[in-house]
Amino acid sequence: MKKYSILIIALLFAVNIQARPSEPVVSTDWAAQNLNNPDVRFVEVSVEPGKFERGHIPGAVNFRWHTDLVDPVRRDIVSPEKFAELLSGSGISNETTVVLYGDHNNWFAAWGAWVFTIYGHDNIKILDGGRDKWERERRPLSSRPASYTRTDYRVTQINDHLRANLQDVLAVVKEDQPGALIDIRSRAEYEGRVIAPEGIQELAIRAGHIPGAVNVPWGEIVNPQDGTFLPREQIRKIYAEKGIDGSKPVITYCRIGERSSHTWFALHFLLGYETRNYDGSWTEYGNAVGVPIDNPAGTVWTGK
Amino acid sequence: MNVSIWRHIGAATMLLLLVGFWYLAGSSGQHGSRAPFLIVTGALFGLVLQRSRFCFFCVLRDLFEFGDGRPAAGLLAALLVGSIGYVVLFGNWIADPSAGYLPQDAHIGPVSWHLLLGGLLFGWGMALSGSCISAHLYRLGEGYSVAPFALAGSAAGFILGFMVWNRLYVATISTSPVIWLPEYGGYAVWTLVQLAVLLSLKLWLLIRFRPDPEAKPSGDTGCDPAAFGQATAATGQTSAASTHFDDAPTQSDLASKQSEHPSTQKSSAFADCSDPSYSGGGQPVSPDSGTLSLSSVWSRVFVELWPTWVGGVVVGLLSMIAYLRVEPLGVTAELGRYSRQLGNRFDLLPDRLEGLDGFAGCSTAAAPEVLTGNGIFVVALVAGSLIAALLSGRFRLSRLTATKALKGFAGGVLLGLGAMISLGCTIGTTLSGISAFALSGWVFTLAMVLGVWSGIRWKWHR
Repeated sequence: MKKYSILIIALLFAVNIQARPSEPVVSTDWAAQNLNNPDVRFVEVSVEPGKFERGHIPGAVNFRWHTDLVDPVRRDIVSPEKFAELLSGSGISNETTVVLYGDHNNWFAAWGAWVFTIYGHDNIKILDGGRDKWERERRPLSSRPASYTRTDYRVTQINDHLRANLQDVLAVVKEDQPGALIDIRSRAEYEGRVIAPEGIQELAIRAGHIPGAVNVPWGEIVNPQDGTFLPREQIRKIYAEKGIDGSKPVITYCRIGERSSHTWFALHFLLGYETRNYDGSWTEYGNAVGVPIDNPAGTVWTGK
Repeated sequence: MNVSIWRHIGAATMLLLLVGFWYLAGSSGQHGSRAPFLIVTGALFGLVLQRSRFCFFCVLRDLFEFGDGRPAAGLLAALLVGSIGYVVLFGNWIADPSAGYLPQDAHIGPVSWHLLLGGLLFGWGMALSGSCISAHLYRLGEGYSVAPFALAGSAAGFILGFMVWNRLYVATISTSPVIWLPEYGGYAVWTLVQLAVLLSLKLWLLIRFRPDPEAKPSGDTGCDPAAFGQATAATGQTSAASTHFDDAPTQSDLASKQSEHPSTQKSSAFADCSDPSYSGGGQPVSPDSGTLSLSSVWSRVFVELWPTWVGGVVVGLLSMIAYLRVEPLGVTAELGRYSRQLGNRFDLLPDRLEGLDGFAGCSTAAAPEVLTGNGIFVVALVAGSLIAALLSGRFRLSRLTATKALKGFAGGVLLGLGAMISLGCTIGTTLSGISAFALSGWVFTLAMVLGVWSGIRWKWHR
């Protein structure tokens, strides 16, 4: 009897794997074969405005991160109502497989994936290597707008547990809650030598990082040649070396919470670790009053 | 004889340099596939500006001083073609203009009195320095010696503009609306309205302002007399070219002989302004217009000036193509960027220019490259104009006096200041703005024309 139950459990597990949306990351080859698949919708979320208009993957729709996926007045992600409206207008139903892609190593595509997952649409994939790889492989682009029959998309659940706020972060810092923090910014920002990269307008009043956070710049888990994610096991190893092994819930952050979505995506979807993205990031934490800061470079705020 | 050979060698050398530039810009890896496109369109733009004398000031001067509305009407062709081109792209990119999105990086700016100020200053700068910024750039390729002073003045003007920007921003720009006309009523209505307005203006200019054949423009003017002096020669070359194919020296000799006796020619020293073949008239100059030989085609394209409207149509097309592939046409972004760097180096500018980099228009934000896309475009523009000027025999270093240089610089300061405040010049704000159905384009242009009109009235260009 015990033998059988093990077999049944194993069988169920196998079926479960089959039923799950296969890989969270798809190749450009897969994408090329699924351009006309009615169950798949390509969504571009690029950092640089104007790229989509001048050429995009044929059939793709454009989500503008700075107007479509955020609240333009309050610092927050788009409301569930606006999100549902956006998807309905793009002909995306609750069953559609959404493939997100964008420029700059899929930074904002990954951020889009995070927003999609928060609003319960986890049938999403990221195009490995993003727009740059697609272009480098000289695959076709189109500047024609795609038009799809309107759907009636409904947000049925909100996965708040994928998002960390300042209180969640402080709970980890004060060890009230178990957790690990990953700072994905550059080493100079992490150490507090600079507050933000050159040319960035949004600064913080203080430099440094959240106490206890380890520094794994986002780029360490991608292939420098084509921007694709490194093999899963290699990614696992990179984080394990920094003490992130999935035994404790992880919180990722960067400066404004977008690039950290890239790391969040890898941890959540590729490694299956319990991970939250802290979208307040350093522009909230470094400006917050009375919070502990680790500043190894010893930069002192001079008011300039 | 030798002069002509040297001209062609010069043109060929410039072309080679341009190809080298293409190679360098393409291999730097910073601009990728954009570089060749920018160089080709930039060179073509320079060539068209030179060939059709696409100079906003000269054209307005023809209208206000000599009562000839045809060149100005020709200029409107650029706006007509550009508007149609833009609306085609808009329809493709933003299906419903009331959706609340502005078309991506189209030059649609905030509208308030700052545009009137900017336009007026820019217009006065044109009258004082003899050209707008784009025309100074192409006339640089013709050897117009005032151009470098005007461009240096423009850089200083830009710095002045950056210095007052924050005050202007808080006073008015921050709360002024960014108005894209199709947002209120849709594409169809505004396309009809804009085309109707442009066409009516065009007809009015053509009918109301016919040139007075007796009008004789005086010698020293803002519009480079050196360049125009050769227009006479160019007219003469046509007949020679048809009989002496490939015999450039003969053409040149003949041309120089004829230019010694301008009185024998129908056209005056201001052939460009008064000869129907150069403006709206469209009558071919060539005596051999019946036959279409290679030499006559060469001569008509590369030697004779094109009517302004031909230039206008090509500029309108280029405007659309540039918007489709890279960004709207503009010639001041790089100049502004370098001025901003210079101003920062000498601590003249505030640490932050409020809201400036958030507006669409000729962007001056810092960039790591030596030349941004706009810089490549402008360098290619000057090269294209130089090649065109060499081929047509219109390259001549104009005589420079201290007064001219000073006026050029002072006018340049007004040009730079006006362009900075208005986020672009006659190309970036008038051409790319009006084509994009931006109210800001119209407001700036209105004030700019008023500035030119008053400047000419007060004889600042003399």
